[in-house]
Amino acid sequence: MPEITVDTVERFYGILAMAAIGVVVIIGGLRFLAIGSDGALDAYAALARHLEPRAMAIAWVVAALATGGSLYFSQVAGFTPCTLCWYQRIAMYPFVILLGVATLRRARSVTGAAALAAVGAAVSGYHVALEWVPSLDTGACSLDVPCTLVWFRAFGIFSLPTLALVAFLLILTLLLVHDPDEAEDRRYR
Amino acid sequence: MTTSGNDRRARRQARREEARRTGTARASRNRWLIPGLLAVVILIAAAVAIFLPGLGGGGQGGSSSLPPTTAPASGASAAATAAAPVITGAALPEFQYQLPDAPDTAAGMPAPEVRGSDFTGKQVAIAKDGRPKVIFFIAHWCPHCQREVPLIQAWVSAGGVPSGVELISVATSIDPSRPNYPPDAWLAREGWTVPVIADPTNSVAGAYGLPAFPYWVFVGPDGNVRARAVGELTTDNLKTVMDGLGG
Repeated sequence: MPEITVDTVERFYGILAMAAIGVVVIIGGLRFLAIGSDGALDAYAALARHLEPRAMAIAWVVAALATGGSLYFSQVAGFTPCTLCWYQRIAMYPFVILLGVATLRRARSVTGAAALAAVGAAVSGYHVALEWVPSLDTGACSLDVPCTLVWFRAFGIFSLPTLALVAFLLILTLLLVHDPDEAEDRRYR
Repeated sequence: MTTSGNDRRARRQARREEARRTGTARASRNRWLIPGLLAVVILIAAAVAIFLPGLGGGGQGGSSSLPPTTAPASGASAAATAAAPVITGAALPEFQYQLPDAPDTAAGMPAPEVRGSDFTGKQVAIAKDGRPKVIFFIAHWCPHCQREVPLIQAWVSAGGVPSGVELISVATSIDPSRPNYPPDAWLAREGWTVPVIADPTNSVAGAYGLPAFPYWVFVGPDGNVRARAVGELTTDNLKTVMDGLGG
């Protein structure tokens, strides 16, 4: 059994992020195509019917993995979090409790959860932009931990805020999955 | 509009019918499908991450840098073993770069003299020798420094530095736990020909009142500080300031 290094963990999260992007693109793409295509609506409805009852639990797994990764990289790997990292942590960590309780109570929705995920995604998005274009910032590195500091990029892409962005988007997508037939039934009832 | 609405409603009803008909049977069969898929994805990710280490993992730093194993063959980098420079003269106050309108209290103060060495052990000094100087403080992990260094090197190689002005770099805030370590390997990759003072204990940075990276101190021929700056500077800006230093 090869040794599990920080590198291994970086790759692990990089692969998960690729899978997560696939899920977000499939669900989001079907939902978008469903506006104009009945076939896509059928496919989305079938997917949503299966997914919706479990979406909360899956989103919880995503939040737990993201939180675990965040703590691993700061506490074990020694990557000191910057200010923007902390804002993303403030948005991500509560999901482990929020979505965990919601899953246990079999809640179909959590008020404000999607908004929290959207705020987290926005902060991550800005942080990712900073990493690629450091001049968006003040143009200088602070002495401690500038937000432009890139600790790693797994597969050349997945830096810490990129992983956070993908996690927020996946949680957001899962929280927004709704069976369109159910919604229409309510409307016509 | 009505037709399409009716069409959609009809399809929806057909889906509901289909779901109702097969739903109960399928529900029990498919109950574990999604959680199972999730578990499989996580396991595959773990397996690939562990057993295929050749998959080009984390590039360190912003640029396409080399893995840390390409540090000089001695194992421990020269960055860690460089001797601390000897500094004489009073330390400059910290540069308040976030207050751009406030006058720099260090202007007119004598620049501390430094006797240090680069990563190969070669002596490099900041001496009061009648030549105007530009002192350029860089941190290997700072993306702004990583962008500035190649710009400066291209300018130096093209002979852009005004004659008579001495350009000296100080590699400071050296931290093995941070990306793009060690600084000597980074500067070698960039083909850095500017003299470097290794600052393993950040004492030169402290003596010059460094507040952020990259950091610039402009010294006149009299050995006194003329100006200080923080951040990425264009070579045009640098030339303007250097021309004003006087030879």
